[in-house]
Amino acid sequence: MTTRKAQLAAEVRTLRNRVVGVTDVVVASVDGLLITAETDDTAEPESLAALTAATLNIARRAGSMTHRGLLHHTVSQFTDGYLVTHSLGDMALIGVLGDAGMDITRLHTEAQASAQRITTLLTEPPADAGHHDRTGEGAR
Amino acid sequence: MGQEVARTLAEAPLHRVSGTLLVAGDPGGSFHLRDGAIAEVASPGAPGAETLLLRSARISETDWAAATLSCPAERPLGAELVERKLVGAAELQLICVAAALDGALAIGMGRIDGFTLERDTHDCRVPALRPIEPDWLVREAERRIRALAARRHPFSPFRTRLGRTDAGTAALDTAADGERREILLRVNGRRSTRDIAFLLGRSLYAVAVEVSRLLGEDLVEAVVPDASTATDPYAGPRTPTDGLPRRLPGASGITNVLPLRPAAGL
Repeated sequence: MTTRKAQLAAEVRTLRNRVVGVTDVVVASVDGLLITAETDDTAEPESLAALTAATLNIARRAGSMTHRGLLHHTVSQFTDGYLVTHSLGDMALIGVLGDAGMDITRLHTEAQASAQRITTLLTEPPADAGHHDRTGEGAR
Repeated sequence: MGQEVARTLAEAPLHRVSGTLLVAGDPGGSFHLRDGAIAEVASPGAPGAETLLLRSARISETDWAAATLSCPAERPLGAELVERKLVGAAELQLICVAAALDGALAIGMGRIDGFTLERDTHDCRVPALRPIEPDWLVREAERRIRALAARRHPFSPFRTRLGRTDAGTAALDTAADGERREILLRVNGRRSTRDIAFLLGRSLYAVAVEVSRLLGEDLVEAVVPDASTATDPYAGPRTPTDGLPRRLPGASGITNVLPLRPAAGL
């Protein structure tokens, strides 16, 4: 049986494999706690998760202060690559590190699709939750 | 589709086309044309001139930032770099031509879904100081694609992840400094040839040729993405078996595609 953790791990791997130039992907809670990661040996997953959350939260506050609505994503471009963060609703986020050649247009398309699937994985009740409920009802 | 892209490029000088030929695909890319000649080829699949200059430390990031800040919009960045004596004109032209060839190689070796010509756009990053003849570029890119396809161990520069074999790890102790050692050091089971070319700031073709040799000598191998390599914070410490690469020649499917490509043009 595929566990939810394995499904999340597969999802970030898919994102990395589909977009040329992606080197690292993390999924974290809004407060920066690592949920899952697919990272190279140059990036430390916990730190990347925390920094991604900080980046997204600063951008969100800037948007809020200037009445720009909901935040979708941020893009930080460096001489040697990118850090792109995507918001997953109010509860989680995706951080993507890429090299200087990363296909940023394709990343946005693929990240949007991944975001929907990851959100579903994070929010849907565990497979055995329904079973417990039914058991409980039966007991009553 | 590749043939049509090649034909469009070959006909560009006749109509003195200026603009951008956008090639959709994986990795896809763009040919930037000025008066029918090629000024730059950009693709996510190959390092551009900027990466080649910066990653190879030919130009420092500080000098680069200063040059881009003070360069007027209408002036090619290359001219500014040469005027500041950050790079010689001949060397810069060589790098721009190598980057353009690499870009065409990446576009030609990948999947092409379609293309559009946007006329009169000028969004080059580092255009070549002297324009490149499209016909020559197409022929040379074709020749390089054929050369890579004819190797004993064809592989995809974008999809095939490379792992070091035990022999490859042992070779690190004896290998002399140079490109081969630099490549071997960066092979870690999750990087492709293209990723290593970006890391080193070297030409995609040059790295691909060296990787092909390393594959032939069994110092590196194609690996299957391992489901257990994703970091799971709840799974506890990784076992040593997590990262063991498994051989899967042609797993990317490139061996089926490559032999057909050169005949298709680009």
